[in-house]
Amino acid sequence: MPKVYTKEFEEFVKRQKSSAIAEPPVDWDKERRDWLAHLDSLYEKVESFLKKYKDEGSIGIEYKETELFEEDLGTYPVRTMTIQIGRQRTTLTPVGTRLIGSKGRVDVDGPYGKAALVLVDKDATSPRPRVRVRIIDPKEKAQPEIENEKKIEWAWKIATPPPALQYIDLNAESFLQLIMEVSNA
Amino acid sequence: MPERVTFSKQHPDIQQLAHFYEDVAKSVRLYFSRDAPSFDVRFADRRPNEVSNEMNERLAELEMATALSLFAAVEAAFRIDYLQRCYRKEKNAMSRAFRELHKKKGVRVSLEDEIFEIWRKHTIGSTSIIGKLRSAFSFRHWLAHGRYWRPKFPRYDYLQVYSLADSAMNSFPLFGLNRS
Repeated sequence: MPKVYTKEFEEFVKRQKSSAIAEPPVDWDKERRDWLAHLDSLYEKVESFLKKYKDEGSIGIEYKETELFEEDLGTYPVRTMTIQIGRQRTTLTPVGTRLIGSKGRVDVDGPYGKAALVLVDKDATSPRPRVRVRIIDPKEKAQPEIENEKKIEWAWKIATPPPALQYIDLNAESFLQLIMEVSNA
Repeated sequence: MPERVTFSKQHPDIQQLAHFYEDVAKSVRLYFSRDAPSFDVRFADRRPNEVSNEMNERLAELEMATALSLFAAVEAAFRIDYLQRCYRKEKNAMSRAFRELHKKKGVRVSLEDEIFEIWRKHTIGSTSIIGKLRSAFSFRHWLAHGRYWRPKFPRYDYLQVYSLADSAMNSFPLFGLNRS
């Protein structure tokens, strides 16, 4: 083997070694509990947005128990929420927590459309990746593959449909707008 | 040396697929709604839940068909990049590894076992997304080969596949093609 390749390979091995970070074991029970707690907080939030209409009797809210299956988490019970406005029903269905780019997702299904509520970093404005894949330059010094380890504060947001993929803060105004969008032709 | 591929420039674009999905999903919902002019004739003597179940079946089929096209778009992007890197003869280790592979196998290379593996070995920041792509491609095979067995892996939906495709397209420095 030519010497130049051997040297390059040695450098490559060094880089790979330094970038191999042992992943800590994941406590899946805790992940599931966290996700279900976030789901409860979403439902509380939605109830607060609709309280006035619910108290007036113009909107009905009911919950149903269903099961979710997710890799590593197994099968577990979750609640779906149905909002009844006149003859229109809008259902909030939990999708899961083992997702790409978010810690959880709830689909909002109405007669005329579907939308998604996602549990993401409260500072995130879109799911676009922060990590850029870089081709290793043999001249550069070895750098371990470390993603930003900042403590994430999770928040529920409305995800706009692809291809735009933007996150909108979830508040009473944006949620009521969302209900109208999925319920109106 | 394997023969050069003539690119068709007809590979799918994920943004166009998203527009396609949105347009068709809206059309399906309208078709199954009381606002559709022929609703009463088409769904005479049917219960509302039968109509909504039928609509959900159509939408689920649309989701899977679009997800399959999204996987095809990701595969095309990585294969075009692979060939471009082989033809450009750049001197970095990843391009060399691709050229070695090309010498042996030409276009008949495995996306998951060979192309993704070379990306993983020769880049920084790719480990996590390649892991996710590999998992998702199990679902792609299930879709592409007729969904006739009960999958042991999690099912993906359109939004998840789109998010992954979008992440891949935006995080990898892929050589694209000028469509014009």
